Amino acid sequence: MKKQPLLEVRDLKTRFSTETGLVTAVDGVCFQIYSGETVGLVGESGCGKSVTSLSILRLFGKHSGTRLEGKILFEERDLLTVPLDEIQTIRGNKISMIFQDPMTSLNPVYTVGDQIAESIVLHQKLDRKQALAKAVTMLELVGIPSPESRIHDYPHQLSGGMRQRVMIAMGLACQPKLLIADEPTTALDVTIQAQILELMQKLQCELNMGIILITHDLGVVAEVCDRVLVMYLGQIVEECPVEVLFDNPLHPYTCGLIRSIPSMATNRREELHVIAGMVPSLYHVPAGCHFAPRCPYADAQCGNPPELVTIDAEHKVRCWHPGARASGERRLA
Amino acid sequence: MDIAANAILKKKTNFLESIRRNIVVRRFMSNRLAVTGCALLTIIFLMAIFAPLLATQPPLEMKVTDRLKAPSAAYWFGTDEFGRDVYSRVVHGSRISISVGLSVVVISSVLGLVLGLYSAYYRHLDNLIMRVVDGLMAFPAVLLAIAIMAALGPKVENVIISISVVYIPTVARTVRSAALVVREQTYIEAIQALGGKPWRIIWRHIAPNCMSPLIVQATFIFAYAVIIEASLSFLGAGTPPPQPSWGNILSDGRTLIRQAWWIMVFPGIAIVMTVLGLNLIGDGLRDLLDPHTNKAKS
Ligand SMILES: Nc1ncnc2c1ncn2[C@@H]1O[C@H](COP(=O)(O)OP(=O)(O)O)[C@@H](O)[C@H]1O
Ligand SMILES: [Mg+2]
Repeated sequence: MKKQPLLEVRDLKTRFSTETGLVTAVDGVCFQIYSGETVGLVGESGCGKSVTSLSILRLFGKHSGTRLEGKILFEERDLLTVPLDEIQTIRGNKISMIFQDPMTSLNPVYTVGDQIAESIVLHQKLDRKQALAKAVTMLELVGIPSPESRIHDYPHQLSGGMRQRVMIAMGLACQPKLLIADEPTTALDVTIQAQILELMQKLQCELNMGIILITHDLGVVAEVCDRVLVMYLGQIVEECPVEVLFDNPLHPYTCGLIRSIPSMATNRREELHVIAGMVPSLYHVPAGCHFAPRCPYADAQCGNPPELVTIDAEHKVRCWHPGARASGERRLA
Repeated sequence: MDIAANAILKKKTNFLESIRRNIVVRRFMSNRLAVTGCALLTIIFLMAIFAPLLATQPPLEMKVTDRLKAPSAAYWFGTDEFGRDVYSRVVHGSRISISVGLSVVVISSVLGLVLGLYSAYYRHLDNLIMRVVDGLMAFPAVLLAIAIMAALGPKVENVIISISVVYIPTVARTVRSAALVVREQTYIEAIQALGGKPWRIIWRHIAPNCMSPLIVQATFIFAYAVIIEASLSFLGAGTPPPQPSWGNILSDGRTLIRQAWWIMVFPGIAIVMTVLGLNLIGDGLRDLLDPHTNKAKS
């Protein structure tokens, strides 16, 4: 029997109308998330990771000229068609989101306790006292010492790691089924980063949440993800379990990403691998394979847009020459 | 749990109080000019509150035998051409200035806040509201106030309405520009992602972060309202006589300035004290609340 996915995104397209014209930031993204798993969404800056996550919760103002197409199925409903006030009862309650920069994600005029309480009373009929008491238990859950006194602190009195813990407490206060974490550790230093990831994993076990972890750090992916989606210029170019990603990457872009991870083992004088070229602007998306202009194996066929094809049960890739790295290297040898 | 939560609440208020006492009040108090402003304004407020006790004569009582008397022990600020005691009239006039000023501040702040916040949050309202605001702001303040008074008729309530209309656009502008900045902050996006409804986001999360510029502006609007009320009354389009207001006392004295300088000098001093006090407070608050000027000074 096939498991029912928690969230299924089908052919999501997000377009912005800007002064210079219509840009497609997310171009036909499809994926599924199951309860209890962590899916990594990786890719260079500007490839549309944040826009994808914002699209799931429709976090674009009604009048900002954003066009969303496709289907986002969650609990048998299409989030793109439910009315906005219903979305508001889902946000923070069933699907939560935490943001990259914990330094600016908390309102400076309220204490930490008040802000967590706020995230609770948005969805639960509790009075202030009860909500504050719950805020204390949430702070305890996310591992903040002496939570009874911490709830009186203002955000500026906390360190970055502490603030991110508070954000997690706010996001998880209503025990959501899905957590979208948009680069939750990018702004933190490495030791704190590990603590936050560990905390997220622990809470995931307790609540059996699905997590979408957006990052550009493959080290983080290797650490915590079960499956990985690799994004390039608004499209998913490769999807596979995390072990496969590192053992047998098929898309040349994925190979490039993996090769550009600095490693302790490599010779220090050896130069880091750099993917040639720049990410093209969304206004000049290449006609065929989006990656072709930067791809060492591109040929005439790559002028046609490739489909996301299934290589085996859990491995999908959008490339005319999947696995070209291996053969290319053999050719060189 | 209930007791614990109670303790938390109590502790919180104490905490807030101690913060206020420590940082804000102390820094405000270290600003000598602002403290002077507070002292001036306190004098005027006490005068307004205790006017009936402070006045030595009923302000409307005419003593035909004592017309145009110079300041003396009996008439501290002298008398006017109807033999009314200028001191008592100035003391009572403070009530008009203060009540008009306060009402204008409250009305224009509240309405300006609503307009500013909503036009910042709902961009389709923005164009509409801001064009009306631009239109109103194109008129010189006093001229617009006179035009509205002419339409409504001379009554103290109408003075309040007309000056409020003049300053609502200014407040709306200030609040809007502050709210546009706040609206783009990550914490607003975060509260949206947590499921905050628009009205709650606007009032609980955006509004408190727009208060500093509004508070500073409110003190200046208070000062302008006092001046415009006096100007309107001076021009005969404001507080109707015989009710004493600083503006119409000035107006009564203007033809007699050569014989009886005291009729104009004392209400003039009262206006200067009030406006100066408010401006000093406003400057102090601006230094305190606006991080940019803070940096420049230290
Ligand atoms: N509101 C918007 N209007 C126009 N373009 C946008 C908007 N938001 C994002 N974009 C564009 O969409 C692309 C993807 O952005 P984003 O998802 O934030 O990238 P990242 O993968 O680094 O999170 C970027 O090129 C960005 O310029
Ligand atoms: Mg991003």
